[in-house]
Amino acid sequence: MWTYDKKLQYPVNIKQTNPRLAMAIASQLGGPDGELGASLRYLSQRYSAPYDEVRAILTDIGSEELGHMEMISAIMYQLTKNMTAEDVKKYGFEPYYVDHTAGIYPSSAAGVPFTAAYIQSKGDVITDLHEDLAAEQKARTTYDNLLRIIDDPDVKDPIRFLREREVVHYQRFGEAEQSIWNT
Amino acid sequence: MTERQKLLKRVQMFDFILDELNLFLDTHPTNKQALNNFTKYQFLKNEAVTQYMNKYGPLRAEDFAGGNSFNYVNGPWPWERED
Repeated sequence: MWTYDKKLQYPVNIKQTNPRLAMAIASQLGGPDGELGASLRYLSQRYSAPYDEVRAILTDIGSEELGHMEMISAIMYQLTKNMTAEDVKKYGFEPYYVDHTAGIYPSSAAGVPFTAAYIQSKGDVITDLHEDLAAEQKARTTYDNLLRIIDDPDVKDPIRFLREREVVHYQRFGEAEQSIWNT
Repeated sequence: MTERQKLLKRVQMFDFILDELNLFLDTHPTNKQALNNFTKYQFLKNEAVTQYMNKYGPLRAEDFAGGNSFNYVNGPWPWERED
């Protein structure tokens, strides 16, 4: 069961339209190391996890990632709000615009649609937790790459928050992995 | 920042503290300091949510306070920017 809270985990308030940036940031929604994959990975893996602490951390981080999906979608929405046909051409947004207009669609920065092939659920708690540790670092690298190409402080701020969450999740998954050896 | 955004930010702040404590407690379920902090911030969060709801309506459908209109549906929704 999930309950919806009508708020973002961290505020997003972007004033400057910039569809090119929306297309790059889309990767953290539906790309290979994005939030949709993260959520689906942890929420799928938890069923075969044999320890309560691992079940808990996979459930709670998986749920938080749904909130991150919402934040990335909000960033994309605000970056494409009030966009004109001129903006579409000026910011090179044509490839996305032709297929999705200003709709939020999970794909990579290069336009590859989301696929479950980005994730694994192996039914082995050690294997799964190591995939999760790697996934958090890959997402952190992606946020670092995005931070290098973003100039707008209103966009940088929530992206920095999301980057920091990857570091915390990596820490917690590491502790979960360690806890197995103590049981 | 509008008055609504200020009250919402308080909810977001306390909720974030609880999210962080939640993940920490998942891997440290008997940590006394974290357990005490969880109880403390639960209280502060509930207080902030009540303050927000009294003025701007429910954040969860289940918190609807009654009346002629289901004000949970009223915007702005979280992804909307307030200009």
